[in-house]
Amino acid sequence: MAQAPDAVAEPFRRKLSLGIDVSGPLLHLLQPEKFSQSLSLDLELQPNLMAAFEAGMANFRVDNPSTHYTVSGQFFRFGANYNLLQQNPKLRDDQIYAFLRYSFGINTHQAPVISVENPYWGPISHSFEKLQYGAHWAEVGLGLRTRLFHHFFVGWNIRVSFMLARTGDLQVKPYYFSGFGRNTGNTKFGFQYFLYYRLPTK
Amino acid sequence: MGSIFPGCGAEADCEQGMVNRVRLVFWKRHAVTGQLHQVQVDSITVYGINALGNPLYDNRRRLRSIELPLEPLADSTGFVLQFPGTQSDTIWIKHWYQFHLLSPECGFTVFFNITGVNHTTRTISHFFIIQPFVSNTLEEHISLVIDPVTSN
Repeated sequence: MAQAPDAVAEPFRRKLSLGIDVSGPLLHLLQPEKFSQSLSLDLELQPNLMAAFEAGMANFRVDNPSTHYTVSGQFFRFGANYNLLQQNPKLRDDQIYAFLRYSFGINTHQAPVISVENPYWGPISHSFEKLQYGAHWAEVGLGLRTRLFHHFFVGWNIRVSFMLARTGDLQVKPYYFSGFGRNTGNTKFGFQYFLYYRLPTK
Repeated sequence: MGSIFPGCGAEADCEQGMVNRVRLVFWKRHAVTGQLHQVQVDSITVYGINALGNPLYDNRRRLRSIELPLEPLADSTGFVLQFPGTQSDTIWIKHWYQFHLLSPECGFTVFFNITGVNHTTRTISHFFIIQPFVSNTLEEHISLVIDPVTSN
């Protein structure tokens, strides 16, 4: 008996998405001393598996009579996303994905004015010029992405960052690592809110 | 990346973290067993060298430990410890300092790392550095083993 021909599967097409993080500028409204901005790029290498790259910048500033302190840095993330939803046309390319990242950041900080009150030894004044420091960390997380219209998507992710290594000057402890956050502890929780544009590719 | 808990942290209380003190705990060696045990000194007066006339402890009684502010921007800080009925001892704590921004609201403070201790030996017989890092958490940094003028 002749078998019915298999349904012709839609050929796999690599999709490239560009994203912009809007959570950094929004958080700046709540925490005016911080500003961060990042862009993302991900390319579907095979069904459900995407290579991902992110690059961003961050600033941190304290400006009051006793403290002038600024941090400026760039950070980069490399890794992969895995779509936990099987490809399904009914889902219109929506994704729930898990991801892994290797990340690093390069920063400088400086303080033209540091005043510290000391009731016994008396007040001290200090300053330091631009010093460079950096960090490497890993991230794991979960994200969600859904189509807004046409090629435009919106999504958010939550992530846990694990500090792997950091450098810094002995005389001034860095306060803030761009892309990682405040320099306390080795684990950080964070979130991002992204807008994406997907470019269809062959 | 945004932090989920941007407002969390113990830094809200600025006063608590601005002056970071080294804690010295008094110990004595048992005459028979030789084992060390904590003791309280009957009374003590402590001055910072270069700040004489401004006592940190003025004939304070029955103390098991003292907390002393290290001098910022210096590589060592000296103190005079006067025990009752004896000549005073001088102790020099060698350290390096590190500026820490506690928070945007509180500003900077200075933490220290103890690298060594020198002392005279009239009452203090020897010392142990237990925790070299001096920050805004009070713990035993240095054990001072003393001989007389104590009660258990």
